[in-house]
Amino acid sequence: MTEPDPRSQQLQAAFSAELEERVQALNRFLLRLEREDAGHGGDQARTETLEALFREAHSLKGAARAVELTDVEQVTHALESTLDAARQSGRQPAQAWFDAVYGAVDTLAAPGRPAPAGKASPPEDPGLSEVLAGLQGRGSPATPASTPAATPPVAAAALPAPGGRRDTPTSESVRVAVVKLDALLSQAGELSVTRLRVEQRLRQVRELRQDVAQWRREWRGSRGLRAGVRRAAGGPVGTEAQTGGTLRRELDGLLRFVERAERRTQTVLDQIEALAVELRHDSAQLGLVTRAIEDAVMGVRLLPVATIFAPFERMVRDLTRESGKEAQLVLTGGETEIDRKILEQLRDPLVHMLRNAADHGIELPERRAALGKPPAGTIRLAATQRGSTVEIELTDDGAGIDPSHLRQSAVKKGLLSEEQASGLDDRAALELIFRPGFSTSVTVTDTSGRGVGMDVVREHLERLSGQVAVSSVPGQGTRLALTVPLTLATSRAILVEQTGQLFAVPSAMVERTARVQERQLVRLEGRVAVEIGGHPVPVVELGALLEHPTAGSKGAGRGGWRPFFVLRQGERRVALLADRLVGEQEIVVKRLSWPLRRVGNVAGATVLGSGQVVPILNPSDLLKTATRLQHASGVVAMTAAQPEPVRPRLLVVDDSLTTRTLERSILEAAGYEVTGAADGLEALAVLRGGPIDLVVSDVNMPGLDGFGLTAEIRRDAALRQIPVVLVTSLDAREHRERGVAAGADAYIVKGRFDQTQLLETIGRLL
Amino acid sequence: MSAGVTLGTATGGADEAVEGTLRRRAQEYARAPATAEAGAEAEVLLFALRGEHYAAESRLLVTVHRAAGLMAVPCTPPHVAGMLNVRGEVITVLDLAVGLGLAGAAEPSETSQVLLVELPEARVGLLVDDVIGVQRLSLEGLDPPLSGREFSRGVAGARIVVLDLALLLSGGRFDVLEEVG
Repeated sequence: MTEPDPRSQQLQAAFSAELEERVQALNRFLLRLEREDAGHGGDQARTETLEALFREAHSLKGAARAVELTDVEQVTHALESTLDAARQSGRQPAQAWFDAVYGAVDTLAAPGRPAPAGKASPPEDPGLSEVLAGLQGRGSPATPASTPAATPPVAAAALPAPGGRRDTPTSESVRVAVVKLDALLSQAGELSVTRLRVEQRLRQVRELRQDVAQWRREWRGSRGLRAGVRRAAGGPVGTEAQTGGTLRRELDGLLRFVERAERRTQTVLDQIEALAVELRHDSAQLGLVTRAIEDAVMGVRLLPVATIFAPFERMVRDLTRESGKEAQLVLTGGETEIDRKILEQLRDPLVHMLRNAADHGIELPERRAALGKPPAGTIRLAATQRGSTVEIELTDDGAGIDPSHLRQSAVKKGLLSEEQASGLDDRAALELIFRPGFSTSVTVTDTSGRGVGMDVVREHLERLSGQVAVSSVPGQGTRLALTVPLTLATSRAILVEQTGQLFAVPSAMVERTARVQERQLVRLEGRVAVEIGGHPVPVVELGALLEHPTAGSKGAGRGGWRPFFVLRQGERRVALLADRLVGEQEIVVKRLSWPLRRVGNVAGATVLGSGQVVPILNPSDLLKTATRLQHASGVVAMTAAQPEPVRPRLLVVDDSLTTRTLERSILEAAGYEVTGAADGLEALAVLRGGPIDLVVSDVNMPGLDGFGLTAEIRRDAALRQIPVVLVTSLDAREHRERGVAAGADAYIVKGRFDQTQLLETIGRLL
Repeated sequence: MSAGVTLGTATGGADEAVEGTLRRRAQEYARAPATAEAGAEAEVLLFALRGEHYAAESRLLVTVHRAAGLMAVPCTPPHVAGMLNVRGEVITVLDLAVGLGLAGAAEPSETSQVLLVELPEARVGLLVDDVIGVQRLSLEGLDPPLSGREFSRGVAGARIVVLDLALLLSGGRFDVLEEVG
């Protein structure tokens, strides 16, 4: 039959596991069926149990056939027949029937019986033949006359040596039902959401602390006022002798109350600060534990892709043999691990794609020879892990897909008009195979023309938050690339803001994020592109893809800078301009709910820690929409072609070289030209020496400090218009006020000093 | 509130206010003589759409939710008002006025509410301009709907259109299945 090879061992290991499960199920259902005899069930329940038994036997038969264990196949076949007969009879089977069936099931469970190495048992094997005879003898099981005494010795004959069978598992592993793991995964997902919520709470507590700190300062500010009240009331109140009078006493009480209240603000502030510290600690701890649980749950659910790949080799061989072709399947990356649920849902799409490749891709040997190809075709199935995603690539060296044929076919099927079809470029035409109701096969065959199309493949993948892309060179072959997440628990996404709304873009598909200025864009045939790594990447407004009115969009900032992100799928790339890139974070992916069956450009939704719902964009759709827009009109990315702006020159003033260097690198990366100065006096010299567009200055500096520098700038008629941003570690209202009084335009506290805030402030002021 | 589903609170404080309003309005409407007739009475929720009054049996309704937090979904037809987070579940909200073909598109305002409807397929939200209250209404002897549409059961008291939500939401009328390419 088959040559022994390593993968058959893998198959048989899988079969052994399945056999064990099915035998357990058979026994369980048999016991239930027997109990129903005792009067619990009724006809309905009996039929259901018999059907469950039948299904188990049937599945096991199929599995046994796959690994060519004919004896198991025979027993299960006999079981099937007798179970079917029992079901037909509509009556409760007799005890003798149960014994015979238990006996048969026991032969399946017996170790050594369906030993992985053993092929068909010799027919003279007493156990097997008697079991079969026993089952056949009870083809019509409901024989009320039969008594327990009539029990044939089948079961006994089939029983192996005592102690040899019901082994307790010796290894240190436990078999766990997948549903339990699914439940665990779903809870881990909920835990992640909770963690995000706790992080949000922490941010809220911090905001509260800011507010209370401000309140506290205001209380302190009222001290002078109180002293004034005391003076007006005639010296220190409190001594009865001095003051007398009820009003004095009441004023005294009020002032004491006010002082207590002031002390109270300090207590509240201290408590909030302590709370914030502990909450941060707890939140960090929760984060660690959550991550550990997620990883552990994920780890438990991970299986090597080889577990589903292995049977494919055989399938391809059989499929091609049937059609008189020759092909071999080359598997690579079988050790790549992926979530079990995702893996299971990949099986059907892969089977379908392999059938397509074997059926339509690979040509007949004569045809291949005529084309100068080796007579045997090669189908490659490769899995590679890329970050948090796994890419599965299926390539064949067959006939490839002819885009013009797809166009004709789409017109013939009424999916597209002639003009629409001819308007599609080859790449877009290839995408037609994913349209519902589009079958690529010229001739319907029994292997791939089964009504399951590539649209179902894509639907499967999108359900898994995955993607599928196709490329093909006619005459040379086809390449299908599937991208799926490693796990279903959480995934990472870039949050972008467009027209006042947040959107999540799966990080796995984002090649890079950056910002661009009008003059850095290149125009090609009236279309706009940005140069990345020496190649033009088309630029499109995200708002245009999302059918947003352009009015709400912020457009380019005053410096002409716009953030963008680059989506990549295979060789396709597009840079999408957004209003703001908020950051990257973990999200829990939720599907769109009824009646949104499929929405263009939107893959799902997620809920942020704040409770806000955010649509998750579909990168694959965005790429297609962007390409269509580019082809149609060449959407001009940045409106109002301004005269080329000069690169804004910034002056960074700080006595610390480190700070200066840090700020310089941040600002230069953002596209500014930066000059440095070590103190206020040096800064003034630089300012008077040449045009500077904005000053970023520290407050505490030797000589002329930040306040002094700001005041000087405001006094000088030539410099007066230059915006000044003060950056300091002093978060005190007095300082803020002094800064504002001196004429600073913005005041950034170093404690909260981050790139975004500084860049946003500068962008606003320029 | 003897039969059917009770209208529960959705997310705390603000909804209690909503419920209070609902109760008050329900009482006001209970005094109105127009529709209190004998016959098979059913509990209905009265709501306003573009200045008209509508009623739906409260049987399918789970709760009334604030429209605040409603998030638009890009690239969807006008009858999709957006998505709403209801206790961690993301629900699609349909703009009922658009779905019924009423003129004008009101922005979600302060009085806008989302009726949560439990269907065999899923939960779905219906955006309405205002919720007036719960009331018992005879569903017999309704005047035929002017539109003649099968999901309009009829007109009660010459001014309330009684909708059959199950029928309205069936038949894939609001399905969105959009391809890109």
